[in-house]
Amino acid sequence: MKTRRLQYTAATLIVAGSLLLAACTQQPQPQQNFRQPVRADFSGSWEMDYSLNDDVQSRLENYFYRMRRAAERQNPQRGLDRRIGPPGGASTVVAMARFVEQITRIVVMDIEQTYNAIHIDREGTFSLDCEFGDDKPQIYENRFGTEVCGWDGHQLVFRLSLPEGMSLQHRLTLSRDGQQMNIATTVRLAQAPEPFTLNRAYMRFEGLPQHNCEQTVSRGKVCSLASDAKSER
Amino acid sequence: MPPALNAVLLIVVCLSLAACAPQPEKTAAPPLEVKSLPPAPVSTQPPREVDRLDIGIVVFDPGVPADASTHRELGIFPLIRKAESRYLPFLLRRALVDSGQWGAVRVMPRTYQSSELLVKGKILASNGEVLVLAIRAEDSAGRVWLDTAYRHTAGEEDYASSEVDPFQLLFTRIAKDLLLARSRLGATELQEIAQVSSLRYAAEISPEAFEQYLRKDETGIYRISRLPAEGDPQLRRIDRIRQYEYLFIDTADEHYLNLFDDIKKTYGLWRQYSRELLLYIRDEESRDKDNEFRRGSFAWISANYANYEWFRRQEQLMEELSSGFNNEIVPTVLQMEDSVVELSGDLDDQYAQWRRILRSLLELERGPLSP
Repeated sequence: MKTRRLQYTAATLIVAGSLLLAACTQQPQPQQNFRQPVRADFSGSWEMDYSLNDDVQSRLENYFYRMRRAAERQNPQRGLDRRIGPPGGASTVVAMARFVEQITRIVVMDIEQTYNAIHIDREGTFSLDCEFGDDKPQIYENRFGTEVCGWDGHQLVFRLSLPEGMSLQHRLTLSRDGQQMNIATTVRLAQAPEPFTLNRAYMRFEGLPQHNCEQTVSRGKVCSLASDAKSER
Repeated sequence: MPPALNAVLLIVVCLSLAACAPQPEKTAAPPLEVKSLPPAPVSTQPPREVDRLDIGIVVFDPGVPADASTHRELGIFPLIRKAESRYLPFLLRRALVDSGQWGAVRVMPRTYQSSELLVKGKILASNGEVLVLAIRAEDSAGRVWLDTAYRHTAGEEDYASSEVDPFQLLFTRIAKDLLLARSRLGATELQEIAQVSSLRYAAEISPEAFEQYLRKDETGIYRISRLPAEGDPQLRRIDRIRQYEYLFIDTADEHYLNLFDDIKKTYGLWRQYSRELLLYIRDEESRDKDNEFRRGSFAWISANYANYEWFRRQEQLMEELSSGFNNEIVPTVLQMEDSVVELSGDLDDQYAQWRRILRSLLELERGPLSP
């Protein structure tokens, strides 16, 4: 009897110790739920294709319509005069739309990609960088936010978590023929009932093949004609 | 539950919690901020012959962690560190030469036994604003003269002159501390350093003939058991080899000097820009970045995003600056490295031959040696 009690207590001790150790290991990273990667090649120069872009006004109207329909389904007696979410919800949705529209006004992008990494140079703002050598989502953190990126199937996703429940996501998709690219930018806010997404379309262009540019410290960016560089070699 | 088991449970819980606690890093003494140190005594006496030890400075350890994923967080750009590890020893060399207190001062690609005083350094931090170097100086007898980390935070005034390096103070301080360490040794000890150096070198080339002249005391310092006969032919041969090693080191030193001149301007600019960027980032970060707009408003959303965007842009500017440095400097560094490696390889082959020849000569003089 005494032996059994001792065995039981020893087992309890081991379990307690293991649980404590498990609890003190690194904080779990946010669940990413990315699908198996199927790497697409985005490399090249891209310019905005205005003809295929989402119209912000239509997206907003669609958003409000969906919200009203959802509210109606929940409470058919209240008719169509429904507020969006909490007080100020509608203005928040408009603010989200305005914000997404503003940050996605990038006309030209240059993308360099290898098997393990991508560098998306976006005109007028910071570039998006991702290393995906080990197929796991890459997490980068600074005091203003956390960036997670990686392949989600054949799509490349950048998720940015900002303070107070705000998040932003860019999802890049390449067309089957590789000539078109879609970037779906989604913003999520705790104050809004649903995220707001805006699609921007891009088409390939030749870029500036006639120049080879290199950053230097003493002379800034130094460019030479590609033909010069070839003849130098 | 029996009290003994209670105690065991308590121990298990304590041990588990202790395992959770952040482990203190094993660190040496904090680096000395050179600006805050009392002035080192300066010798006004001209050096005696025994004081004039030859110094070898090994190119510094760049201090780049093997785990590449930590570089970004630590602000380390490996190729810049590589260039710095060859550039900074020259600033120390210059400070030592300028003091006029030493014999030959050479920058070497690796440790060579021929130096009477060997200086090794590791870059612990370098970003244009702060330079932290761990310096260890050891004489040929194995006596440690210095084992200290030095830190200098460069201010605006340090960048005022294009002639003086912004971190000159740090190197001048190391040079003065070496003088101070030398002043603690008597003439006999200094003379012994030169003799031990010669014998250790000889013992490395021809252990059969020269190991017998040296012994280590209880503190690990090499002592001379006895001296070889004056005019010992084997020692004379080895001295000639030693001169050849000096020739090699001088050639390598010349390559490093050329590199120093070649990268001086670009490296200076990189340090200056890097420092300005760091100060700007720190200044901006210290400002109140709290978002005071109404939550969910356009201004609030924009401000929330703008903070992140601003930080990333500064970070990328820094990366761009370092890639500019790499584009401009790395080909020169690599070219220099190739030349030194080539020379070094030649020297290693040469040593293998010399060892064989010396052994054969010794066998002729003394009869067969044990294998």
